[in-house]
Amino acid sequence: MVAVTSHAAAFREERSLQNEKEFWIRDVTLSCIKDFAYIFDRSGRFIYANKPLLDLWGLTLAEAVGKNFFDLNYPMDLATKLQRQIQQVFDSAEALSDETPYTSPAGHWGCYEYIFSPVFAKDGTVEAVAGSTRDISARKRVERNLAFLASIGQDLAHLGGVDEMMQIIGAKIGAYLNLSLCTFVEINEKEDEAVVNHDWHREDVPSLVGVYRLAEYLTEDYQRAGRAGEIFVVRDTKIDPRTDSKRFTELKIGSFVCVPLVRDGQWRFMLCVHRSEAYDWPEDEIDLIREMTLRVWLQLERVRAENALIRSTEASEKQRRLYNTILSSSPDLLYVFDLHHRFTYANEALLKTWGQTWENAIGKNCLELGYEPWHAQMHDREIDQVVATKKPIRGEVPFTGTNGRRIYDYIFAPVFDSNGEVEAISGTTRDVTERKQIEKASRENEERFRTLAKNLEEIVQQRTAKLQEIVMELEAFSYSISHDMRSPLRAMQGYVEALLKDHKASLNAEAAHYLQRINRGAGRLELLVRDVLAYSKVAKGDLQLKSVHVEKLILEIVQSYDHLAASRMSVHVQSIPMVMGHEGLLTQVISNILANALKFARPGLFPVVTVSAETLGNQVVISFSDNGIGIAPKDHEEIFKIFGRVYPEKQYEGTGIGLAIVKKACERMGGSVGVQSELGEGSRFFINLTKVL
Amino acid sequence: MIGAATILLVEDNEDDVFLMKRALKSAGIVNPLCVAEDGQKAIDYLQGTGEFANRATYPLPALIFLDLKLPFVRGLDVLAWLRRDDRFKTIIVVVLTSSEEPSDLSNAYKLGANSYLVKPPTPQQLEELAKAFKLYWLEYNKIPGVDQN
Repeated sequence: MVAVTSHAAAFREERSLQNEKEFWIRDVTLSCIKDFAYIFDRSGRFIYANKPLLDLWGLTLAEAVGKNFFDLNYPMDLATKLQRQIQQVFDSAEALSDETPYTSPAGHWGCYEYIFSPVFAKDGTVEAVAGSTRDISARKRVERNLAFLASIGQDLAHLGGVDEMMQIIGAKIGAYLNLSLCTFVEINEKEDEAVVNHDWHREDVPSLVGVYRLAEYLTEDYQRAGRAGEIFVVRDTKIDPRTDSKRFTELKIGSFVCVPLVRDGQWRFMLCVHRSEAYDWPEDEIDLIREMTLRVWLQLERVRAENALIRSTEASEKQRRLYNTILSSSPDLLYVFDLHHRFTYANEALLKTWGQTWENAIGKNCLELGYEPWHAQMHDREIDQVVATKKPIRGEVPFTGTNGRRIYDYIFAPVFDSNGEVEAISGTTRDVTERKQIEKASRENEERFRTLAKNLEEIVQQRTAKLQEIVMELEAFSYSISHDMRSPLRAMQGYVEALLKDHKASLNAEAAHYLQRINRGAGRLELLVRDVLAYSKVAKGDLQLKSVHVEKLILEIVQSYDHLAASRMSVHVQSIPMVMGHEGLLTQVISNILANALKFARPGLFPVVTVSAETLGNQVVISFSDNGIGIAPKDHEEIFKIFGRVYPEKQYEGTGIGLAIVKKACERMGGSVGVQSELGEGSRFFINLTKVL
Repeated sequence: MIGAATILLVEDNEDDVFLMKRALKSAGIVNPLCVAEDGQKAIDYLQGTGEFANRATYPLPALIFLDLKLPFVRGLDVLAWLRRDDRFKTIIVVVLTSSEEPSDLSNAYKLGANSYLVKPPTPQQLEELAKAFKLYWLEYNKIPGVDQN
């Protein structure tokens, strides 16, 4: 204490020795700066301290002067160090600098950088040590915060589970910022929810984990700030007008900082740190909290995304296995090409067809897989086309695989990425060999049937031609009859005539009689030939039906045929509608019927024929009723047959062809003929023909 | 009128030739009658070749009776041939046949026949035909060449 006194006295003495005013100016000047300025004497006691330093200590200059660090209750180790350093400057006459944390008697923590410099006397010896100290707390805190953030970052990187991560981080933040409670709040405005999944709290403070309605958790003001992304800081819940002091007291919250996080216009998250007492949150801590909020949230998102990815990867892996199973069990060949024509997928069926393993085949193109060059090139072109046109392509190709040469129908289709560009080409191929065979078989069958039909047609044509040929032969035969049979008949009759006329004198009666018999035979044969020719003429050839005026036709026939003349028979014709017919054939029909009526007239009775007509629907029935001998019903069928006759030729001359011609002619005109008669009752022949409409 | 001009009968059947000659005679037709027994001979006769080279013996006829069914060259072919030749275009051609075929009938006229007669079945009818023929073709009908001289 003696030393102290002596030093102080010396200082005072010096001051008295020098200009009082000069000291005052210096003191005021030094006190105007923020840094601490001070002087130690040889024993390490303060000779001078400027006002900022005195304020930190809470002392007056008079109280401080003459005291050393021990006297000022600095922590022992710090005081010892400082005392030693002062001594060092005295001894070495060289300045030194260092830094140290220090908490003031008032509890203000700070970090300080200081320089001790020697003060030389006139003789060159060190007579005092001057010091200047700067408060570097802010800088240090920032550095410390950064270090803390870095360590948090490392933790974040290493911690996998969300729960564990939040717990550890919460605890670290709590310790670092001397918190009572740290909450991680997830906001879902749509659902009006504030969810505290995680928090860290001191043992004496209740947890806030739970699901809250926004209004429950935050007042309107805070919600507004949150949406705007503004940090809100409450330094003392008891006096802050925005907080309900009673409620916060219950929660043991004296002050807090909430940092909201807005992403894509959405308020998503909030980190809240609380202290149980009022606290003047420094800027650097608020910055730290803000930075932490972002990092924690990003990490939270990342972990969640990863977890989701893991889950979805698991799901897609499962799906892949499922699809693979489905694709593999398909009998069709299914595969995917990349843009370089390489297979990136091939199902079991395709691998089997190739006789390849997955490992060997995938990543190769067709050529590398042993396709023939033309085939591989074709597929290469097709893949390029699908990529260029973005449209599927279809084809058919034979391919020889492990199951032999088969025919395949395939479709290449584009697979689009999210931008609509082709990123791959999917292919499906079906073995259509059987189908092709069936198609071919059915084509062949069809061909065969067509050929058969054609052959049939040809056969029909051939037969028809043959029939026509036969018909023509028959016609030629008729012609032959008309020429070749008739001319000998003519010769017979001619020579008989010549004999009878030119050699009459040399013929006796018997010879003349024989010649007459030859002549009559020839005449009968001539008649027969004529009727056969008439019948064949009616039966053959094309027929054009026209409307025929039957009434008029009958009158013409009666007039032009001598043997049907009015002197020999009477024909009464009533009104007859026009019919579809053929005049030549109708002439044959009418003349034959009339000739029969005359031929089979009742002896002693003048033959009378009445012709009448009746319309039945579209048919006209023309009746020829005579007063002749009649025909027994049993003979009605016989009379229409060729050479059919009821009476011997000796009784009624004729060839037996007449009514056959009538029947044939009616049929040729699309009609029919019939008879109604009793023996001795006269006959009614009727013909049905189509009426002209 | 053909006066004393020659009539050519183209007929292969000698019975018909006999009956025709007899009918013409009984009808009073006295024109010289030459006979060609087939189509080729008819052509040879008209051209004056082969056995018919002597025109004095075989003068060009003013009228021809032409049968259709003939050996070697058919009657219609003879008709077509002679109508192509200017020398024979005006000769009267009367088809005399047993054919009643409509095709023969129409073809004969198309090829330039002047008349178409079907051989009657009986000698009496043939004689009537010959008389009618004489009256129409030999007395009333006029023919170029013969009647212009």
